[in-house]
Amino acid sequence: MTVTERSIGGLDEPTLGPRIPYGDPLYCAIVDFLNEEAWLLDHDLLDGWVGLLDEDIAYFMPVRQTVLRSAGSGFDPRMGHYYDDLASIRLRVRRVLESEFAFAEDPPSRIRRHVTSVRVHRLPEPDCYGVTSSMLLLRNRWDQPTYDLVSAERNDVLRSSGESFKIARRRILVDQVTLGTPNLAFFF
Amino acid sequence: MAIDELEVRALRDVVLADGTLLSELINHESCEVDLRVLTDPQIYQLELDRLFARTWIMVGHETEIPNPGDFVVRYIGEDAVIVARQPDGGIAISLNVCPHRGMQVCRAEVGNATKFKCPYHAWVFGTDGRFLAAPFEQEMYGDALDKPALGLQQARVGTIGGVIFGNFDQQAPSLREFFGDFYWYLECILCRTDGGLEVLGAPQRALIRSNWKGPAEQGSIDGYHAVGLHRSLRDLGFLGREMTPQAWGLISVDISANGGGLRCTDLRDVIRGDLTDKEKLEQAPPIGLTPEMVLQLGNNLSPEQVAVVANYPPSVGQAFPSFEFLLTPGPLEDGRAGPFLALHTWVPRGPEAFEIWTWNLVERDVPELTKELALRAAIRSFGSSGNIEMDDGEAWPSQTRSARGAVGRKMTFKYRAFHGHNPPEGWPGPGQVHDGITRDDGQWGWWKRYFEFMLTAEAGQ
Repeated sequence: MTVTERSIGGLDEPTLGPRIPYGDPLYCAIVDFLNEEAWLLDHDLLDGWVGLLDEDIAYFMPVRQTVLRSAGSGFDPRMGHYYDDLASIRLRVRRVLESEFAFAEDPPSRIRRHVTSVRVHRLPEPDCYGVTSSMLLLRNRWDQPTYDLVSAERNDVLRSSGESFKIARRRILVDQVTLGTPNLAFFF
Repeated sequence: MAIDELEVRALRDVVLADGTLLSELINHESCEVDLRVLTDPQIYQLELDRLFARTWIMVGHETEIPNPGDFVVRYIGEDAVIVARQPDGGIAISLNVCPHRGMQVCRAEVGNATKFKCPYHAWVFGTDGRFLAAPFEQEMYGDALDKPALGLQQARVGTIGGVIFGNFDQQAPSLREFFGDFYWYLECILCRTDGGLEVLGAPQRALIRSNWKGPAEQGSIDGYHAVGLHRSLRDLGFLGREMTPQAWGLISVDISANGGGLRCTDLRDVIRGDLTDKEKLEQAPPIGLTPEMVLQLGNNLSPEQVAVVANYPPSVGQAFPSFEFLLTPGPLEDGRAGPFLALHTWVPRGPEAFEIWTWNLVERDVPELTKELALRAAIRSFGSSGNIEMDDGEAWPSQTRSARGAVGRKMTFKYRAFHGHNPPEGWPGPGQVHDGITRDDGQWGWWKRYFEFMLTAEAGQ
């Protein structure tokens, strides 16, 4: 297992190349990939989902604070709700799938991920794409009639991999300062 | 009934809506507390008055606001406060409520300011909360404004190891007196090095639909729950390889003092007893210290404190009422380690909800790579996505749901296992010391102090 020495955090953005528009076969392939990914997660097919992650994935969900308009987005470059690489994501998945005592998601919630507003850009590196999407995640737990909602923008770097893609980076830019769900025993 | 209990009642008992006395919810003989304390709205309001407005509540760390004018907005109970660095390096904690008409004067959670101006009528306050000006002051008020009385209400400020606490009770004892014997052990965690601690970014926040006393009761300090709630750690190979108390991390020297509780790791069987404390520390540097930093312990702690750190290093615990700390070796999936100190406070949000706040810290002078590894380990262990703490977030809301029922709320927290004071021979520190399997002494101590505050309206304890 290679573990990157670079920081998993940080808010630097890749230099985006030209945008690939709606209707382009590549755009369609990427939307198809994101839909497939969301389906795997919604159906708790976590091993399949992990297979979509690249070896050097940086999976970061920065914490956020309310700041004045002049001060920017309020995201923290260091501290996250998630701060993961492939090894740690595999451990999380193992915990859920192999332990009978991962109580935070057992019994499991019903989670539905809605992926919209997909934008795709070429990146300077060949066969790499900068992809932003909106995610509305609804989590229903126990017998509660209400949902925990998490709304976020995802900034991904996808790499071509054979007929499909691998996720090389995912940054989850959540719209909440205070998460409205008690834990993140699920993935975005 | 014991005389001291009658005295407590005479001080300031409260009749709850159904005629029950608040003091009846704790049974000092059987060591039980009614679950009702988790959901009763009357008790919650009383807590805001008698506990959160009168005790020292953690609001952040000094390294979050390094420069003059830096501020963060935090909570003492449900009161929002502005924690601001002053030009002279001091810290002021001001109620974020305009004395004029009650709007919140500071509308960002973090930033830098030379003054705070209320958006409503543009009254202006210094970063120390003093009233500075109002628009058209002469035309509007003439000389009628009692300016010194119109500043933002001030909380007292106390710090230990850079951790900032606020207290709205001007008569309360100092932070050091309030923590009492527990302060000595907090220094062993928070005040070890010359460079001190630094935060690794802003705190995490998440709303948990549990009464805040779910985590607070656990915090002081329930080591026993690992064998149930954290059983997934066995399946991952971190804990409980055998079904023995040792393998589950249940054997320790626990401390209880002033409502706080903490666990100290017993190194007697791990490290040779004939070594000096210095040699022990060099062989096994305490969690989060580089070998070079070991010598700094003597600059910052007493010889007795150094002896505890060398032989029984304090690890996790909580100071009363709501400041939790977890000093953790930070094992990572690749075999490396990112030792870190996680800090929590439980911010009440009504009887059936609280916010869990999580800060991660390291010693400022550790290498950058160590800080990066600490972030990895910390975020994966505790807080919102923590593999360990996620499951705590299942227990606490469940307790609160249990306390909604007419029958369930009469069920009790039960404390049945006590050591009393049984320190290892030659124990050099204060407080009640409990050697052996982790028991209920600390948690019962938390409830006793909780009811001391809840059953008195007077300042201080």
